[in-house]
Amino acid sequence: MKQRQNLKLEDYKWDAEWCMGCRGCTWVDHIYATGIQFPNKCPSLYREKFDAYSPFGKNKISLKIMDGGLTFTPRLLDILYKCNMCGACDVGCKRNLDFDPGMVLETFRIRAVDAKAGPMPAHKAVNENIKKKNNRYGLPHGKRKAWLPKSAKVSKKPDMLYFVGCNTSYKNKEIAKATVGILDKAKVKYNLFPQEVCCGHPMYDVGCVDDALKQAKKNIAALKKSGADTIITSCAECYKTWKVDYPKMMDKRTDEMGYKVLHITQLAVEKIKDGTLKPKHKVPMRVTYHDPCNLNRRSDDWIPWHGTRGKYGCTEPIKEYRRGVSGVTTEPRLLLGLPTGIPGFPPDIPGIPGIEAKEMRRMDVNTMCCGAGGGVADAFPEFTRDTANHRMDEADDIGIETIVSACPYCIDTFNKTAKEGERPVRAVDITQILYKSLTGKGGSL
Amino acid sequence: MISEEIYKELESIVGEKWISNEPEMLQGYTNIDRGWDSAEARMLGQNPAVVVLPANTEEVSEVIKVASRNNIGYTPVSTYFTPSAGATSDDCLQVDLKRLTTLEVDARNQNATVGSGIVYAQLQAEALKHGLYTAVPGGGSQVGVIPNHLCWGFSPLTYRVGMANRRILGLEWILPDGEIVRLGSLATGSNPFMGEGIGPDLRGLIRGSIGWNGSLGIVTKMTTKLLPIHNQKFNPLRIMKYSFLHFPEHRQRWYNFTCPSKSAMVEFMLDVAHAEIGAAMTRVPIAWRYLAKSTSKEDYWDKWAQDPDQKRKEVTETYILRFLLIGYTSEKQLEYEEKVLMKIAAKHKAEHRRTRQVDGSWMQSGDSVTMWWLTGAFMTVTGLIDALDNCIKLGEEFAKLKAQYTPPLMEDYGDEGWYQMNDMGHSGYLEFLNDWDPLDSKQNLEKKDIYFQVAGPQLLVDVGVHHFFAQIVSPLSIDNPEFGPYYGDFARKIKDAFDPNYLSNPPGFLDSLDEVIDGYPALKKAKAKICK
Repeated sequence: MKQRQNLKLEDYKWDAEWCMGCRGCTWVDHIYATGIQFPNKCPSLYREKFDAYSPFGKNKISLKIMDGGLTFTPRLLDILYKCNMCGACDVGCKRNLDFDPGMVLETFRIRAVDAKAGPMPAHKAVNENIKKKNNRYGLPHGKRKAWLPKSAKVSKKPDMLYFVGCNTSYKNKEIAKATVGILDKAKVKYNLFPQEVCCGHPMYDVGCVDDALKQAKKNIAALKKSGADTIITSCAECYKTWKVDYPKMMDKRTDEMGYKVLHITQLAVEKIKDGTLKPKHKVPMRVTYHDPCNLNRRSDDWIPWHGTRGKYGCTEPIKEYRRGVSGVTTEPRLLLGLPTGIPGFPPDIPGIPGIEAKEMRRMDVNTMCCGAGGGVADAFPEFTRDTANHRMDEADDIGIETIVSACPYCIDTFNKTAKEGERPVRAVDITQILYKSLTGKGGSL
Repeated sequence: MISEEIYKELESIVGEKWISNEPEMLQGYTNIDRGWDSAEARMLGQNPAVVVLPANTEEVSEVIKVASRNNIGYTPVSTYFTPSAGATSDDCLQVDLKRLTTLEVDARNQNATVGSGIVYAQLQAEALKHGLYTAVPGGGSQVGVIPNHLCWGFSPLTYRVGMANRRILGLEWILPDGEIVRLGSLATGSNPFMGEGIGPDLRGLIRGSIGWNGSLGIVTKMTTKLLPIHNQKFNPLRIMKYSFLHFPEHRQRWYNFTCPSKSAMVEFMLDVAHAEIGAAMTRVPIAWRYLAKSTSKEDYWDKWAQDPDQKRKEVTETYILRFLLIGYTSEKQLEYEEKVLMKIAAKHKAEHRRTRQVDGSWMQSGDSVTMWWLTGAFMTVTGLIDALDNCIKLGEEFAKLKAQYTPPLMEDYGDEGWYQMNDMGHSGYLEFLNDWDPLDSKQNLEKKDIYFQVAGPQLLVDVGVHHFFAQIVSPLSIDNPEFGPYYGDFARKIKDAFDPNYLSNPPGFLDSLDEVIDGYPALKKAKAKICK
């Protein structure tokens, strides 16, 4: 098995070198320009302001690392790790230019770890937890499935496996319960993922690719042994890791991995369309939808490229670009009755009754990260807090106090920040709303 | 060097958080390796010594006073689209203006006041909310409003609305020594609605690309005219690479025509201008059509390279014009203008072509950045404003010259540039677009530089057209006696008066470009050979 191919910083030197500094990586696509408020989509540059914290600044810094002109100083690590790895720069760059700034950032972190400079101490602690306890919190592995209701209709011969994830297993257990409730209602043959260990996302995103690969191998082996070929996730990070990072680390295309990854919202929409799921109970809420970065612009299928650049930088064989446009953005919107991430594209299923949803100005691929991603919540909690507050200001700007998302980390971040700041904002996972509409249960949301 | 004492003084102005001299931070501001690959950037590009991010006009002024008092050169940057925003000496102070993000629309008086950190996308989005608009420049909507207005602010919509620099009203200007000067009505009051003020109109002194290239102080706040447009919504559709605005078709439409000959195309443009209709009109080079239809860079080059003879015929014998009509006041206006346009088209036997009523590059989003996508390096060789006939004449001559430098320039099959009308037909505009391989051999890159820096400017002299944009490409455009030594001498006198120590954006536009020519043996040799 080929591993760690195309994961060297030098593999993306072209992208760093010929960045011409247009800043398309940092602004919301100008077609969707919002005006004076909320024009940015790069949390790092928005907060830190110095160009060094921008994707184009990091491109130039990476060149100096490659030629030995800079070393991994504390400031450089601050620049490198005060980044949510949210993918905004990557899709922005590919509107007009075909560079891979997202991969520059990923391989830059891998380079830092290889140089034994990275990751940050807080990341190392998380990694140790995963290595020792198979979860990022260092909680007992034996309690990973403690949330599972006895009533869950798990199958001994499942077609699909629910990969619950660390956060949902230990923290936001109501999301896990809602998800199995939806799976029950969808009448699919499912079970929980056997011997589930952390997907490795916290490791990969901070550059610890070797550690992440070990997690990948464990999980893939367990999947193969189970005989199932479909993974269901309710966590955006797990979704992206299975779909993108596992094939990336193994130098395969996503469609060569021999399994399929579905977010629970994708399955739900499919089952609503075929009439199996019927969200009939009213859930009267005024909400907005926050796109998790890892479910959205970071989740295009992985496409390895091994080739050369010739005249004018033309690639041989032709490089297929991941433009961040095939993530899961439509399904959550269909459930909420929003006219989908693509304006003018009407919903083709009835949304959850009672929900009144409204888009924030930055949405779909132009979304702003909640602030947690890229290991920032672990290493720079004040940065996470500022970004989350900024995003909540955006919800506030449209008169909405309930943020619906599809990632437990986004939910945690918003709720924690709102509580600390005594803001009347709350975040709810989309699975909980759907479950309540399907069953009338689920308590007060 | 910027001493520790001076650093502390600057820090006391902007605060500890907004100053740095750490090499990692400075590397983020480098103007080296930025995809421009100009001789200027290669020879003069440096990392600054210190970067500061002041929060407002007063802080900028104080920073500049410190720099001036201590004989420190400083370079302002707001959105950093051009290499001239970068440091050109390693003891330079970089003044990053991105924290100056005020934007106020005065809808009643049809103007907006912006800070240095505001980009066109923001201004246009706010203006459209009030049934007003600005002309997003060719450089793109990611460029700063203030620097672009100072440069000159060219756009396809310039046909209707004129150059941005003529829309400047009141402004705050920090002189090279740090003194704050307010121009226009701001000089005597607080309302910036008027560009005119008591005394001499100093707005011409602050010009950027066609003047001082950002080397005569810093403008921190500017009021610009906004213009009325219909209040219909432009619907954004699709995402990222495929995103565009759908026009409200009953009020705004494209019209594309194929003309039977070059002369018919020119007469068509002139007649439309004389009829005083339209929002924009431009010739569409064939390469743009291939660009729009290509699925990848490789696809573009593959298709562009096929059948060169046929391609040359297609490029030199196809005359496509693109018009934008806007019913500014009513549907009736659009109907009327369409009738006039069609009559003129019929007169010139121009064939109306189908086109989608969507826009990804004129109203809200300038996509000129795509020009870098083709090869990794791009530069405009000239922008010419003259009679349309002269633009066409120069285009023909430039095509011949470019052929001598192709390769290393990309093959364009004899394209004669793109041109359009400005100021409702008062003048024409020509621009020659050039791409090349930035990883080409040193010899070829030098050949490319000679084309940009020496042969191209000399051609302007030979053809004898009026131009004033090319000075950003070559000092020969200013220093060549054919263009008048008077201008260069006069410009230096102004610089001497306002900035005797040449601290504002050092070493200053004239001398920095001279350094490029005279310090680069290949260019110096070419200058001796080519220039008369």
